[in-house]
Amino acid sequence: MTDLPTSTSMKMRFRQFVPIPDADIEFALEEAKLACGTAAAQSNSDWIDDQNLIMGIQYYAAHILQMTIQRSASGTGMIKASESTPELSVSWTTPPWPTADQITDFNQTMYGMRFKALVRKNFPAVLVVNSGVRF
Amino acid sequence: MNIITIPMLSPQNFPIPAGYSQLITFIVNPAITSSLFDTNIFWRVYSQWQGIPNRDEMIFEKSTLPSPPPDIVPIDSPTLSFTVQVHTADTVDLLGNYYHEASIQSAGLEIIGGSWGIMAVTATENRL
Repeated sequence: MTDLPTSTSMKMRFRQFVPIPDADIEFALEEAKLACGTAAAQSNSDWIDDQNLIMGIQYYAAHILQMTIQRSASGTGMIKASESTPELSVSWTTPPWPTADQITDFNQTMYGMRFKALVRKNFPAVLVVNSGVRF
Repeated sequence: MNIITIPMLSPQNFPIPAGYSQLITFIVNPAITSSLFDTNIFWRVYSQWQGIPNRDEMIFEKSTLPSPPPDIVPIDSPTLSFTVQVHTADTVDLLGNYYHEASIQSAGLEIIGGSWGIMAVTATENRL
């Protein structure tokens, strides 16, 4: 089993997160490991292999960090929609609410979209054949 | 040796590379006490998850008590502070976030000050 991502490896892999404190990155990784599974739980996580699991954790954590950066830029929790200078005209947009088929905000960062693509590859829609169970 | 300086009485997060010998300095607010003479100082590290400490799982502790040999040194001048010596063995097997808390105990056994936060142990690969 290759080691799971750390704040050190995240800063090497995603250079734009270097200014973020290590503790904040580790918190994001804790959340990502909960969502994706860990080495101890991997036997039940069904990721294709260790590399896919690691990529999933990396992208999930990177998505959290990128969303934090985007939303903290406004001080309101919203995402900057446009900005012009020197007139200093800034407008903010409200993130879409989760829907039944889009339960999270993964589409708002490139890391989130990569995570979704990885999940689709690892967990394709299940084709159920002869699923009836009789007792 | 690298030196980390930690201000007092607010949540303090700091990183430390796994296995590094480092001297951590905590600055003490003079409003708490004018001198650390005749006080006991404790610094403990616990496991945590999402900022919630697990007090039942203390990873290691340091103190000014004479046994084992103290790794905490009180300093009254020029800046009221104390230092904590973290040894290689303390963090070499750690990785990720840990909750840390320092407490200053007066001669009357009252807790008169403290500091807390997250110690982020960052990954290192060399094991010498």
